[in-house]
Amino acid sequence: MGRTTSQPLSAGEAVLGLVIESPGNSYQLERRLEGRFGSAQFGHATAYHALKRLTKQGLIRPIEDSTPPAGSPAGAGTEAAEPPGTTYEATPEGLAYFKHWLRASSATPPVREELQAKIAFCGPEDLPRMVEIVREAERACSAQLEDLNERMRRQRRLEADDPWRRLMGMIVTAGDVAWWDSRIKWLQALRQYLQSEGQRYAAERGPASSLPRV
Amino acid sequence: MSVLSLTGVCLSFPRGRRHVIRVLADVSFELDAGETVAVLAQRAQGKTSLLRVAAGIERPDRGRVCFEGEDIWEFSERRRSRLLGGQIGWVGPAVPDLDVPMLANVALPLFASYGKSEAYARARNALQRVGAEECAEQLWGSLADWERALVAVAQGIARKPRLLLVDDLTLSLGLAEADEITRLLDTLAVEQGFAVLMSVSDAAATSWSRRVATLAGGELLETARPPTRLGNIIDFPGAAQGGREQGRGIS
Repeated sequence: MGRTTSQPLSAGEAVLGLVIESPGNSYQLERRLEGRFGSAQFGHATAYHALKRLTKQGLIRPIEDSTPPAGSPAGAGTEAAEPPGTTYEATPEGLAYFKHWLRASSATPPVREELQAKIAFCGPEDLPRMVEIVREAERACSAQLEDLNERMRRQRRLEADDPWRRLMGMIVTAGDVAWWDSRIKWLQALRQYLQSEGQRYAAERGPASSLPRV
Repeated sequence: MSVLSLTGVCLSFPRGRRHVIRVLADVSFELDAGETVAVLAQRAQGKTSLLRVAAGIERPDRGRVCFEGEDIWEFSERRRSRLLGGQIGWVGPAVPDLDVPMLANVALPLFASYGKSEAYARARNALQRVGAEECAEQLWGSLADWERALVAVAQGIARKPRLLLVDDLTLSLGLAEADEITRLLDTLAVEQGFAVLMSVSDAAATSWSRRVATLAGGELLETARPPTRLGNIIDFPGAAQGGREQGRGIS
């Protein structure tokens, strides 16, 4: 699972951390992954696939008496998944790996924004559509913020008995919120700038301008 | 019926002879009882103007502002002027005019409507409800920002409004304090069945709002998706019967 620290969070480390915090089955871990790292927008069944990978790497293992007995598919270290109800725990290697990962430096991820590239390449005639795209992005950010708020409210109830986890959860959520906050503010400023540039361009070209009103 | 609805509201202010600042451009939205909506905008983007329009203080150039289904600009001036401080509460970070203890500060505006003893009883209840009873005998200058915010909320809810307008209350608060105050507003909205329209400068203050709208360049943008059914995640007994499940997007 070795990776450079300049890449985004991988599902592997997130799921391993959740298993170390508290063993669980794939369904429970899927829910916890969504609750704790919802803004990462991991795909469906991410925890399931991460569990398979971590098991193969020897970083986690099924807890033996949690495996449903009769007619169940094969166990650890094979291509086939463990039965859905299987509970996983971290191995000593998993604990050591995670501790190393936790304490390694984290670098800033690169910014690879499609929208920025579109703005970079657009011409004056594209401005009305660019403004609309930015509006769509603003609405999408609001939706992400609403989702994040809802996950946070739910998560706080789950962590109500663990003040440390609750505090760390709040700090992580604050990081997510700050990201959406700066994103929304940048989009708002961008939209207004594009709108005023569109108007200026239209005014310079006079009434015969074919540029639609921004 | 919505507590507040704005339809095609436009507002602009002249700047010099040739310029006009567009503050609100064709703004439409609805707000139901028990619902908390946060409007996220940077400074000087029309947050306070939006609230002033909702309160009937500022008359829009165009569009309709309806309170519980009635256009407030068809009200008599007397009725409209009684909305704010009556059925509409205002919560903001303003310094009080008189240097009196906070209990009197909350009670004084209620004297004319309720008489002295009832006004004090309402003020005491409101301070208790927001957890600021210890501020009752304190002067404004001796309060922390967090306590000032609580007193401002107490003042806003003392008349049991149908709509609470909250103007950037969390601006001077820390992360945890802003979170607590917005949680309190959401709790009160559900418990007492009023709607909250809250302007904020920071997304962190939206954490307990079920809907988040953004305001910039006069445009109020909201997510167009259907509202989430929230009955299963609300803290409070009986909250699922509130109006928030019927929340509407921008029309």
